[in-house]
Amino acid sequence: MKNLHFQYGKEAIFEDLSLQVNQEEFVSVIGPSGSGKTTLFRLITGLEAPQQGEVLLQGKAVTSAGGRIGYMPQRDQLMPWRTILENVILPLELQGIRKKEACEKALPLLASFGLEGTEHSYPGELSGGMRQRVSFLRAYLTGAEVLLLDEPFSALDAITRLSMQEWLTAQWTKWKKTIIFITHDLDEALFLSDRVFVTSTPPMTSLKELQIPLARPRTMEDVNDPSLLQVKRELLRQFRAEGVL
Amino acid sequence: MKQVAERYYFLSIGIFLSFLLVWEITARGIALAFILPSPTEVIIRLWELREPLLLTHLPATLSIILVGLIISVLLGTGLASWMSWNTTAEKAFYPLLIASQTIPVIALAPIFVLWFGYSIWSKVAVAVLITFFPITVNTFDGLRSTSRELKELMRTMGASRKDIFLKLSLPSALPSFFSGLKVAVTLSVIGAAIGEWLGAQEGLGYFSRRMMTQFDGAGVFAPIVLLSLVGVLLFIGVVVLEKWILKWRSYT
Repeated sequence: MKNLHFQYGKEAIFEDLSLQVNQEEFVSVIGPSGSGKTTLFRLITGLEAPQQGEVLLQGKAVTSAGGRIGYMPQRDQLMPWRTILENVILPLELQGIRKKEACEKALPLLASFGLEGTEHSYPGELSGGMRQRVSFLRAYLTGAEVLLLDEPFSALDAITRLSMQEWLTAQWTKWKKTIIFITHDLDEALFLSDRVFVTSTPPMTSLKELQIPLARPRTMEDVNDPSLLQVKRELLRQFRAEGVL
Repeated sequence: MKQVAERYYFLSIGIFLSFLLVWEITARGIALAFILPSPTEVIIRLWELREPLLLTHLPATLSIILVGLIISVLLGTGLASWMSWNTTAEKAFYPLLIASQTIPVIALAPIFVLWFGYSIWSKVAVAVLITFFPITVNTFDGLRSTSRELKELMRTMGASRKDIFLKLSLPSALPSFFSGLKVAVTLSVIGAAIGEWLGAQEGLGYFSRRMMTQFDGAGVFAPIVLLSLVGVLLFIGVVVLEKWILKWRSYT
């Protein structure tokens, strides 16, 4: 992302903002609500266009929405009238792949994503956690190298959320994708990411960046690692200084 | 849940039977069958007239209803799709659509007879004119209520406007379409009957009116009983179709 400038009406949100995400990296964006996290996402997906600067994906500018990024929205946004299998093949269908072929491609993946036996169920029959798995598989099946996850676990209960976080880490390791993850949950960001970007009050010219000093593979217990707690304290101190906490 | 449903029907059947009972007693009290025939007289007359009613007049009315409904569905969903696709079309047609409902159809029906003669089409025109509105408006509202988030998600997947319309707007408008269709099937019976009343040579509405001129009270009511049966059966038919097509709804 290079020299990005974006404003809604007269109010600038980003001014000359640049940041880079590397291949196969897991990056989180965290910040208080209203701090432009979702705007950042809409810029990356191409749903919004920056007034100045550009969003580059593997060297090519993102000029409009269109199939280059796998997006997993906040609520699962599955189509209730489609079965699980029909939901996950949606991106393939939109790429013009025939339904039969798309099903053949998607079916074996259901098991890998912990969804075996659900292919003919409707989204209404599945729990919130399972629905998010379907939503993630659908984003994966776009074939995009970069997956954008917008607070995907915010609507889940605490226990389900923990298991989904471990599940996501495993999936990320398996499929070697670049993941950009938005959250307002500090622990979630620290546990999942290689790097964390912190948004603050607009207009922003840069985002604070934190390296997470944990080795992989990680388990939930690592959240209490002293080095991680140090990062967390630092972040909290900054939030207090900015008056968001 | 099932028990609640049974009690529900039980209640309405009970009320209906007591209504018939009061009617029967009143009719016998008045004892002027050409003004108020009793339910039993109507049933007996229905049995006596079964051949002309079921073989000549019911098929005539049914074909008006079905042809009218098919035209309304095609025209209504077509116009609704066009209006949701194109804002200019919406601005042009939506007000006209509302205004069309202020036209007293009963007053127009004789003109249709003038235009289309005693053929089926004058009656179909009446049926279409009153069933077309609920189908169009409901379908259009359904198409308009498409989830914005899903639309954006599909755009990030590179979906074209056509993709979004076919794979998102259309399926999400189906429940509203069925609500419109349920209203339309009951209205179509009324439309066909009105049409036949005003100018026809066969049909249940026509037959009812002919019996009126002969002061045959039970003969007036017999085809009306059939008409309302047709309406109820059509309604049930649509509900069954809806349950089958929208079976995913039972899971949400």
